[in-house]
Amino acid sequence: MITARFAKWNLIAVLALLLLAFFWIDPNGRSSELFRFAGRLHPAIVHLPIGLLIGALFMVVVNRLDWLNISEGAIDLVLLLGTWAGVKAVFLGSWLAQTGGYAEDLLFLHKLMGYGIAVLSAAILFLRTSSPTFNKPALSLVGWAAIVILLVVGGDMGGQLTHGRGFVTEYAPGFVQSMLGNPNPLTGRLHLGSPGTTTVYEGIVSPILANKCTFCHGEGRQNGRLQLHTQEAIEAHEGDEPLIVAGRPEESELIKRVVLPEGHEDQMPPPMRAKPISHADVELLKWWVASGASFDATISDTEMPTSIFFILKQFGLDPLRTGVFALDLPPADSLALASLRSNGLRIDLLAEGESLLSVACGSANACLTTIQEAGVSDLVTWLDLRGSSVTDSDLASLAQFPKLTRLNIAGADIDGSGFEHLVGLEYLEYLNAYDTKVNDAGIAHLASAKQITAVYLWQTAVTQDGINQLREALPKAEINVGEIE
Amino acid sequence: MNAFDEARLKLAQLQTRRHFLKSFSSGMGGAALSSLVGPAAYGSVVGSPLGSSGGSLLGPALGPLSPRPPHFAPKAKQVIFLHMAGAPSQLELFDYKPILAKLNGQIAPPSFLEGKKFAFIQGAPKLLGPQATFSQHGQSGAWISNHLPHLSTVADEITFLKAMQTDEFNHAPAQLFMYSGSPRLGRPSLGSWAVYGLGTENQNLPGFVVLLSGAAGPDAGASVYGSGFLPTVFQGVQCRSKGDPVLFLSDPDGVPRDMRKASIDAITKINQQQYEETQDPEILTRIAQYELAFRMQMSVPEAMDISTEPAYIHAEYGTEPGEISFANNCLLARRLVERGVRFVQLFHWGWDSHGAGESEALNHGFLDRCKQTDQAITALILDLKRRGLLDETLIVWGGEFGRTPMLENRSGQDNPFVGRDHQNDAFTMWMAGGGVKRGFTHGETDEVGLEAVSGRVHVHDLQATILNQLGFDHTRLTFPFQGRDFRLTDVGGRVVREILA
Repeated sequence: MITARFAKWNLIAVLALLLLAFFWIDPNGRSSELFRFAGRLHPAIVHLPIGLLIGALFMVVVNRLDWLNISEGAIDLVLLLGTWAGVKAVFLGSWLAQTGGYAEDLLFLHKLMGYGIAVLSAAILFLRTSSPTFNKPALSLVGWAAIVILLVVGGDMGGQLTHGRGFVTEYAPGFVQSMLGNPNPLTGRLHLGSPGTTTVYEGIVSPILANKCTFCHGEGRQNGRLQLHTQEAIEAHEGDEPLIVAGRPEESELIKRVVLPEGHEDQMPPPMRAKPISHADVELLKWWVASGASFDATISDTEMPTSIFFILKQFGLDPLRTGVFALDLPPADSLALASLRSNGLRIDLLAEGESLLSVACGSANACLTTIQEAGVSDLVTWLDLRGSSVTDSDLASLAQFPKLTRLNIAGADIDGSGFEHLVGLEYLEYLNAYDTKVNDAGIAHLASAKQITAVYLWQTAVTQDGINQLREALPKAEINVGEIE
Repeated sequence: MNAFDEARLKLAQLQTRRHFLKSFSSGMGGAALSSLVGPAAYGSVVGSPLGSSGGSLLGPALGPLSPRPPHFAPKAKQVIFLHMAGAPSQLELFDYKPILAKLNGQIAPPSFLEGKKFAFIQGAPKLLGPQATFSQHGQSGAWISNHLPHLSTVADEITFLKAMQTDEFNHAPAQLFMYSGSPRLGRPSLGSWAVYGLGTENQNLPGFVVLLSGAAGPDAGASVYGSGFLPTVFQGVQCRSKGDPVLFLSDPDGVPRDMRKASIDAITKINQQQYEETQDPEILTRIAQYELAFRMQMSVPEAMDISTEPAYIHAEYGTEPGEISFANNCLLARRLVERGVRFVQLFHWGWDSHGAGESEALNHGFLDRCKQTDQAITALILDLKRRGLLDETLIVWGGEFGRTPMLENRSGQDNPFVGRDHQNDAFTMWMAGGGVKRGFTHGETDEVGLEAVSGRVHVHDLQATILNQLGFDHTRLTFPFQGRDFRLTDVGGRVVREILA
């Protein structure tokens, strides 16, 4: 039989011990090995008070509903045991917290909830045994409700501390996930939506670091005096070993530490505290370092091996759109296209859902003017003028075709004096002028058209000198004059 | 394609179950169907395979062959597929195995034969070293044998697929597998899929042309360029470099062209009426074929006449106008892609080098085949290149499978001829142009060339890659047949991105 007097002193003792735990166990200190060992038992011991307290509540409810007649003394005993199991869990938890690596804000709340549960259960015991001078049932109800809430919330926090945020809901059904507003773990993880403007750092590297590293090496904690949460922090890092050696992942500590074998004491993320980093994440970090660890290079500007493309595809990267394909263009007026077709032009969309046009003039007269008048010249990206009556002076109107990437004027009656109008076409890659009268003066205009990657000049009036000069001016372009290599 | 077109097409398909539906389609049934069948019912089909319904209602009368946009911007607009029918030996051409030379004449260990199927090899065959000398060529250092002295000079234009794999080890099923994605008859061929998806640029020429050379056609017959369950307007049209380019194309004696025109107009009218009545899409195909044939009467003889080519072209290709030869077909292939033909399929017969007879032995007939093709293929690559066409034309070379490192000696007696059996687990193909890498080798086989060890490319992967270069997601280029959507790559296929430029 637990008396009111016992329950009162019990409550006082619990309060005193918790105060002792709060002030004696320094959260940033380091207790002896024995305490640390005991701390590691916290996750096991912590379920004891949970079970005992829920058991006591269960017995109270069963009695209240008159289903069974459990002795009140037995309930008091279970409650007492639950209280002290709670105190024990608080101590073990405090020692575990000292070993570090936990999110501090979350840890503090979790700790407070543990204190609350122990105090509340001791208080309920006192209420149950004391004389009925105040409204016992109402107060008890409030106390029990608070304990249940603290157990659920505190328990979830414990799970998050051990396994990371989102642990409980990781495998929840899709509708639960979307109710919680959780992003899709694959496509929502990295920011790959606009690879033309997003840098590799902000779209890929930073989310991985935030997910895997900054918990301990970030704004809050700075384990090993390392912070990885911002570009500034990464650049400012000074350590014995270089954090990042641009172009050399094998010499960069950032990479070396995440590829250490299982069980190595320097392995990151630390195996006891965090989920391992995935192979895909390691490959992406390596790729970033190997390609220069730039904070400015965009995803589409960074050369991407097939293996990286496959990884990023899983994370939701669409096929890279570069050059003229990266532009956001309105679709052409379909009536304008229809009228062009009735004029004998072959005009096709480059692909489904694409605004860019491929045009072949055939023998249509004044083809370029017709396209311009139809108002679609700024969408034409492939232009085939083979067999048309286009002349050098007509080429001046190509200024109205700013999206041109491929221009085929093979067989046309031109000498290249109109090529000066091609220089300003910033996307032009392919120029086919074989079987024309194009001469050295004509191709001299192309010397400043650095964007061009292929020029075809077989069966023209160009000389070897002219070709040599063009090759010198455009060293990366393929200049084909039909010689059998 | 718009919803109206789709509904119309679907309706037409359903109503092809002729007599039953014919009796009820005029009433409520037809009206209800056209509103019920929405985009979803035909959703995955690219474009409108039957175009604008013979031109009666919508747009110009281009019909099923009118150009259509692919899924994404293409790298290649045309394909030339050079098929060496009978399966050439990779071990004498590209897959250099010095260790196999050292092991020449030794009995193959049983592990070489375990779990494998061979067409002819039985018992314990001997290993056969390379029947060629190899050297490296170009900046890329590609190994090419002395049997291909011309091709060696353009090694840097080529991507080699050294670890090709197919499921079939006999000619006809392997050829069907290569072109239709299935070893059995009835599926559309690669070229048919391409034209079904893209239409054709030149309305006066077939979109898919087949050119045959050698003593026989492919073992699997015309099905390797057939249209399967696609409308027959997409099948490959066999053209010949000797005689009438297309059989029965020219007008019979005493029938002038205007009379032919008048009779085709009349037939088209009747067909049109029949179509209005039964809505059978095959009638549209028939109309399109008649009209194409009529236009082809003018354009095909022009395209197929290589005698107008200058002498230096004939010298480069080794062509002789008026003959049936692989070289002539290569030159024709160039002329056809230049005129906007979408898919040109060449078959050259006689590569089945078992060593059972002189005509196909590795030390006789095989060498002739190399001589018949080497110069013309090289000229084709260079000719397309200087015309700026290689950039947008994908050339694919290969056989239906490869050949074993083991000697095949069917008779078991002294045999002056050497040969190899069929091998489906490892063989070489190559690609050039059309947005694939230049001077690149993908995949590797083991020391004797028996198995692929890295960079395996299955036939379905090859098909997916070819379609990818034409702008297609191979999983979305489908056709509904017998209750489900079919595609070329069946349930497999991975685009070999490693080889894309």
